[in-house]
Amino acid sequence: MTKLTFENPFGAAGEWWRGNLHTHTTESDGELPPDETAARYRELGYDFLALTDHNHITEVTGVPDGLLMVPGAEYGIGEGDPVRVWHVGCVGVTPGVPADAGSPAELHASVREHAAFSWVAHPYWSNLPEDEFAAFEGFDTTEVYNAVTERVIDRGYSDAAWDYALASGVRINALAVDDAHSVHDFGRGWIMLRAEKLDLDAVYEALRRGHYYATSGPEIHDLTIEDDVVRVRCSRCRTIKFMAGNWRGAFISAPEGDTVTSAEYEITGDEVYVRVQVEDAAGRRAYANPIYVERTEEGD
Amino acid sequence: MVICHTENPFEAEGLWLKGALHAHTTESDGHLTPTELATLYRDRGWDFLFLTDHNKVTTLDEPVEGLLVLPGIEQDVGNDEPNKNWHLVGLCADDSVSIEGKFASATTMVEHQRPKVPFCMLAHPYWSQLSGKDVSRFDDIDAVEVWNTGCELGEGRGYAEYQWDWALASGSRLHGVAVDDCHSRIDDSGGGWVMVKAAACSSDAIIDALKRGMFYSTCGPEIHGIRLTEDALEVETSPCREIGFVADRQAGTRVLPEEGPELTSARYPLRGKEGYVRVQCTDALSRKAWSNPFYLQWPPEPEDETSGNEE
Repeated sequence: MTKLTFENPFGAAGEWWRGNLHTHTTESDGELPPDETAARYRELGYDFLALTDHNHITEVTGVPDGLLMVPGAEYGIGEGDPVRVWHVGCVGVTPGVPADAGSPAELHASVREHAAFSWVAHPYWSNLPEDEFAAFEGFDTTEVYNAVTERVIDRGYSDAAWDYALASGVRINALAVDDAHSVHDFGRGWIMLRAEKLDLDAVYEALRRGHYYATSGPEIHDLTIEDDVVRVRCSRCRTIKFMAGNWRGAFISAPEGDTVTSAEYEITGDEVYVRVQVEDAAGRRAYANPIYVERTEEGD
Repeated sequence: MVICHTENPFEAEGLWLKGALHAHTTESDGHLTPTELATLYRDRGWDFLFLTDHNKVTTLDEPVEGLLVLPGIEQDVGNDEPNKNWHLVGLCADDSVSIEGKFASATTMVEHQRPKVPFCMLAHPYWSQLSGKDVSRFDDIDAVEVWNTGCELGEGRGYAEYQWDWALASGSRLHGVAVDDCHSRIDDSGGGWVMVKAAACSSDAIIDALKRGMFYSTCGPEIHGIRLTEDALEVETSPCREIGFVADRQAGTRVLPEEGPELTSARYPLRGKEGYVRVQCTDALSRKAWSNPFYLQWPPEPEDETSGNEE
């Protein structure tokens, strides 16, 4: 018997809301002031936005109609380590997180105490080792795409670190974010969040449940599981991957010059997880959160 | 002043040779015979092919004209680490490297194979579920597969930049190779290869060039030239959608076309702190190419310098 664990946002009650959870302003090292940043995101069609300045909870006045501002911040440690740094994003945060915690564990504990939702920022940019990242199980969310680190140093995608953690048995969801420092970063990576209404509690609840998918462009239209068959429908893409761990999974690719908009994968029961990842012709990707797969005793 | 510890294949004399470093035949779990596979690569324009069957050194009965076919082997470990599946490819292997069954651990495998082959490379880290630390575990391995066609087409785990970069940033010196790892159940021959700058199309010359990193790896794009000046790294390529300079210490850059969909050159002004920089480029079909890393050394930083790069 196979037991599947999945909080499926597709088909759940509510609407899709577009949001960016990682943004800098002139309150730290971003180029635009908070109110102008908010206005620009609203013009781009965003429904919610978190300003996450470094070590600082930025407040904004003059929020445009229709845009929900989510209080946030980014905290970091690791100055002096030539290889790795740790940055953590959080929302629903209240003052009290130290500007430079002594260790990832201390940082994590403090963020957990003061924030409604937190995640590991840009693992590839930070050069985080996959096993420390995976072993650090307190974090249940990571960035898998970070637009500014892709634009600036070509290290925006952290698929490999995420899959290493998942294949090791860690349960972790993933976000796409702009980490915007300038207008060049606006609108490059975001999440589509499924919630019945747009208020802070609903956003935190949906984030914690994994009721969203992450994207740098493509849309995932639907994801269903029926009789252990995972089916996905998406906007026009070049490839669809079912990433699974334990040497399972599948890769579907359109013929050269053509596109693919749906695919399915039959879960064998040997997977650790199954997650769907699609990529369009421009190389932009969308990621669904993982379905966890377990074999149960009964029936073996 | 930067001190560079890398030979540059683009500034060396020799021939560019197109080669496959990882391939299976009916002698293990491949679906084409050695002669059929060699004929396929010859017809597709390859100059050399290593046959790397599982734990068996395969040779051709009769030479295939127009293709240099060389012996190799792929070996693996039992269930020492259940979440991982270590595979190690040795080139120019002979029968003395074969063993009965699997190795007890990655360490015993490397200790056994390393002295017996002139060039050995860690296979498909993403597929093997290896971390960057795993990739950097053995400092006497020559290369890591940054691309594996079979693993991408099979399980979506063809790339290994994250793992390679982690190893490089922590001090490993590993070349990056693109390979097919073809098994020929589907057409998986020709998705990734190396372009080697060698003195001649011979076993000795190819191994010498591979060991010295005198090659680049690609799934399609061509790298035409790379030049390291005192303060910049410059590259010329076939038409690409983007060109990246990937480095450690949060350095590096990504260059997009100034106008139109493609670019054919890019320049990276060095920031003065990189331990390595490597070039990668992506074409309109999302196919990538990778240079080997240029290892750089800098005079000690002044005490008051701040990095000023906080994402």
